[in-house]
Amino acid sequence: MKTLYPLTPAQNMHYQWIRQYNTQQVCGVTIVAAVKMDLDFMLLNKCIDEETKRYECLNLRFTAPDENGEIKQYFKRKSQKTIKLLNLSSMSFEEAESVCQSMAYETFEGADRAMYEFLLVMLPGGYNGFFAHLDHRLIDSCGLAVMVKDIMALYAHYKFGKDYPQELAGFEEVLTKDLIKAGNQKRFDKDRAFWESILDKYGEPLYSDIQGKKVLEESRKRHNDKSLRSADIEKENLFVEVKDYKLDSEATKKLMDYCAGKKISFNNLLLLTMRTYLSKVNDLQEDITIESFIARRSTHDEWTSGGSRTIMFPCRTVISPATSFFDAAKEIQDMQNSIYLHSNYDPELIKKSVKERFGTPDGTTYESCYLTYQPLQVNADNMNLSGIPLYFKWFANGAATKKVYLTVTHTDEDGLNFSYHYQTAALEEKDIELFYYYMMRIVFTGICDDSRTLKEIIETV
Amino acid sequence: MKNEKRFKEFLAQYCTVKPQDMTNDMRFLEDLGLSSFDFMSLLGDLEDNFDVEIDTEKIGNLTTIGEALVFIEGAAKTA
Repeated sequence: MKTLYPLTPAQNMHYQWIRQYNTQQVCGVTIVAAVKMDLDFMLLNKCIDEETKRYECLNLRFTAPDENGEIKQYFKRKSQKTIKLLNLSSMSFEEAESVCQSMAYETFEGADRAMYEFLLVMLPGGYNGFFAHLDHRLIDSCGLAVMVKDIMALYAHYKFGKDYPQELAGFEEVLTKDLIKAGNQKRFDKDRAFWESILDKYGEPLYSDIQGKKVLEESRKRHNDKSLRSADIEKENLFVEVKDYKLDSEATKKLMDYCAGKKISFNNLLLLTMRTYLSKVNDLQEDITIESFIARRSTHDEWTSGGSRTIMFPCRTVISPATSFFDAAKEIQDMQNSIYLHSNYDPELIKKSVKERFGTPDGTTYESCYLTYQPLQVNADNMNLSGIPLYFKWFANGAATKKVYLTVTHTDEDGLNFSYHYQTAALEEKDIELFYYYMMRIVFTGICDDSRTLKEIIETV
Repeated sequence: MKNEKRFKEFLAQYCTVKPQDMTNDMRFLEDLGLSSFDFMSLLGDLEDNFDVEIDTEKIGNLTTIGEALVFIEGAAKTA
């Protein structure tokens, strides 16, 4: 008989989005990983099949919702003995990516089924590899990076005699530990006290938008409530575009050196930069909340067990414009550290508490921007394929639950990639260009002289 | 110290340094390579595993293995 487990808070976050937006598309995650070399596709097929045994999280399935709309998860493996080969080699890269993009929009409908699909792919320019499309409740971006690395390391082992990759931690064991931790009443009470204390201290949050105050004002009119502090969420048109900007290695080094020298984590520097821009375009608003994603992987087992551990928490920053850039960074760091300590809490409970306290209208939110900083890189060196050109690309699922979702990753050239996913219902590329432009102006002005106040920096840029 | 071996084995789950190579003057972030999330997560798990209560105001005082050990021993005595 199969063992049924409840969803973890991170999985539940995705499940609630599926329910709220009424489509599994919001939960899709897709990558293509390929190397510029001839591949033995039979062998790659064998490696992917082996991966589904090594990486237990791939075998998660979900039950149909019960009478309360809740679902459970269990493990059942699907054989990957014959994976289809998709030959896109005669196309241009643009055409091939367009095909992969359209497949990234596909959904996994229904319950009690495998929630992933692999394809072997031949791409233009001699690149060969695989396409993987999965449900985010199985795996997050860290987990995907580990999976890609592991599949390619298996291939390098069988093909070139490299070392067999180290065993991956058992997901079921880690899941069980997580559920025990979540059931620890003492810890739960402490976590709840922390999140409630933020609401006690600062009261109801206040919405801020990259398009300025007019967005909240429009919601106030729509709800006929001049004091409304939350704004409407776009629910009809979830389509997103993606705009990427690259920061070169020299500029990236300046940011990293500042963080190392001042003991500020890069994630917190990004949060400060984003919230300063939001403050700038919202008449120096002090109370800004950004949803910040946390990978929640710290032990070896958590790093290699896969699964969906990434979860988002509201990073509430109430900072006076008279605060220096450095002091503001420290304030954010203190807040984020406290959030880390209490990140076993289910964010759904925070939302519930806010709604109960302040009567937040349905379909409204306090946050317009979401941030993920992903320090884990996928490159050929860490897959035992050193020196071989690699093609690795994330494909957007085409439906965002957020107005702007910024993902910052490291590039192979020691730079950074700022990837903005934005809802086209409200935003244009021009809005994102401005966002990136001012983020760079703010952060470099800030690190150049961190004794300047946020107000001075905003006026300077 | 009574909990030294156990604490270092616990700590080894979060870093690549082996328990036998850990010295008490090693710093969590700089020498063991923990991120701020790792460190805060470790503190949460420390409370559960060693049955101690950490005052968040005093987290700044815990920067090395030795300081954490003194804290654990002290908390055990007062419990």
